[in-house]
Amino acid sequence: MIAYGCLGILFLFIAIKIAVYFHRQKKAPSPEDLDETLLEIANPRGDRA
Amino acid sequence: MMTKKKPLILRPYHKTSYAYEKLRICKHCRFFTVLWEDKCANCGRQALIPVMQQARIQAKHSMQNERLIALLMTLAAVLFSQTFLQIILSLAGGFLLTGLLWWVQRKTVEPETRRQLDKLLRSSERRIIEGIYMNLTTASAAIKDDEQLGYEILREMATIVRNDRIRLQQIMLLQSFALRKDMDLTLEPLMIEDFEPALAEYIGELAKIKRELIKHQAIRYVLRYEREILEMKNGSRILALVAGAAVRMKTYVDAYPDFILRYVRQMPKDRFLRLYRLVRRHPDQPWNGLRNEVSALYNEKYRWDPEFQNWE
Repeated sequence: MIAYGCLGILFLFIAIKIAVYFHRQKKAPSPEDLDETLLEIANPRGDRA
Repeated sequence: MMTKKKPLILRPYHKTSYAYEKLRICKHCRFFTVLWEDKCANCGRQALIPVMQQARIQAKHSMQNERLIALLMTLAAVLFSQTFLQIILSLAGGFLLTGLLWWVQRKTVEPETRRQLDKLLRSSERRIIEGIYMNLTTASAAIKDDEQLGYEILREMATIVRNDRIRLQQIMLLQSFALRKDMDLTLEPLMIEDFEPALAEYIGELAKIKRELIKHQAIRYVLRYEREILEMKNGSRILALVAGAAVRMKTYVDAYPDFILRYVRQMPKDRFLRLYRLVRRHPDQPWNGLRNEVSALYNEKYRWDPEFQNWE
């Protein structure tokens, strides 16, 4: 019984992880977004030209 | 007295698709740098890697931990099994589910890596700024002893630090070098908003040795500050050179006929020849009087020149 319980928890864990991965895949930043983030950090508004 | 320009060979510049590809992090002390150094300037270790590689390591560690948790749960299920059938089911179910997780992780490793990089950049804002500041200090120290090295450092930094101060420093340094056609030179990243005589001179130099770098942005810059450039010592020569570079493509003649018209008489012969051939090939276009001026100049100076007879 406990064994099946562990398997059930494992199943839930994997299902949630897979859902999270697919959700994150849609929301993942593009290389252009990453560039913009870095440029914003390196060029604070006051210094930017 | 004219300062003698230094001949030199610049380190090749490796252009990247994205600015973050130039940023590296020390695996040991988490110091950031834009430069090409082998050792970390902060801790001295040879532990510098591109930030994307660090993000990939973090993503893979996280995924590995999840697979480990899944295997531990499988092990727990096996340990708590009371019959042989339960053991088989626990093992099969556990491995199947872990395999499924592994398969999904393989498909999503790229977006996960980008997500980790985003997280790394946002959480390391202060350290990135400290790294850039240290690189700037290195550049200032280098400029005093070795202007070429100073320029090369500033060129790398300009990929990420985008302000007129850095651009101006690069332009000033470039003006002290003897520029050649085979050098890895750029113009667009150095364009500043305000008028700067050194930039106008640099544009004039490029118009002589690397015409292909004179594009719309450069032409518009000299047009915007034409009056100020004419007040410079070689101002009209710079403008004539830019006009001469512009005639290499019909696009620029179409866009700036008035500008070219103003300096057509000061163009060197080879540039005028280029313009003459272009004008002859498009008999239906007047270009605001440029055609007439080209004809007049041809009749005055080049009518009997054999080079002008083969314009096809």
